[in-house]
Amino acid sequence: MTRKTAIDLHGLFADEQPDCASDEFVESVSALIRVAQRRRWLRRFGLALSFALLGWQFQGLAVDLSRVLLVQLVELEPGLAFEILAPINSIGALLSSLLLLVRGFHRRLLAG
Amino acid sequence: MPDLSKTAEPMVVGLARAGDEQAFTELVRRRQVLIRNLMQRLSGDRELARDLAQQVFLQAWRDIGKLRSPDKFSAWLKRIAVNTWNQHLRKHLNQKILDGDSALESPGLRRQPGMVVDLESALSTLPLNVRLCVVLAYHEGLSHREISTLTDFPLGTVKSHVKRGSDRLQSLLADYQGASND
Repeated sequence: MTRKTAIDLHGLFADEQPDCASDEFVESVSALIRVAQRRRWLRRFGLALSFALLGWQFQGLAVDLSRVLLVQLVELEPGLAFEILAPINSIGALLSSLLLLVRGFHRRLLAG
Repeated sequence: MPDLSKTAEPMVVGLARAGDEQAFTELVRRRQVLIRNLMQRLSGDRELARDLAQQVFLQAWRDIGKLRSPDKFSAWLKRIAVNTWNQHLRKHLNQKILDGDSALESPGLRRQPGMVVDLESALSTLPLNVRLCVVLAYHEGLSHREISTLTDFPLGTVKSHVKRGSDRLQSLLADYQGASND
């Protein structure tokens, strides 16, 4: 059986570097970044425009929705009970509680 | 325009994180050889290595705000490079080929004088995941644990890949040396 001499792989990898620095490569990366920047700004502009248009279109709906969310679950006269129960005595509070419950249940399911 | 070529790297990274384009360009200038050579070793293709290196720097530019420690820029960049390489493989190949013994191996070594050609040819015969571990171990000088962290391969797999790859390289390069000495 022939015994082969061990080759210094670290040395071999270190000695031979296949490529060297070039300004052309740096410039090509800068050009790609400029294109990506332009796309990023266009995307942001598009999103902002979409939100503005949506907001304008659905302004009335948003106002109606906020009124519905503030409707009391139990009719109370202004006073101490009204002040204390105000944060939980509305359709919005009920929906928030339901969302929290669903989230907790979902997490427990995933953990289990 | 200030000259950043002599500024300490963590400072340049800090400027780049703050959105300074000139600072990021300086980082590309400093680290291009590291990334291009890593990609060249992994792909064995100069043009592909160049394209992948561009993607690495583009991704780094997108994510540099997420880099917490400027002094770990180099390791962070290598991780992006490994991810970019893996994404490239996932796009073009399947898992069988990544881990396979003989798939995608080159038909044979190019019998030309010069160690660069020979090392690249020998590397090209390694299965892709083995090649990744060998390049990170010998080209980048990383420990098995560092390679495991970088590639998300289990430590045992890394050790086995490096051992298998270096044995294969030793054998192929010794054969080549023997043949070229004849």
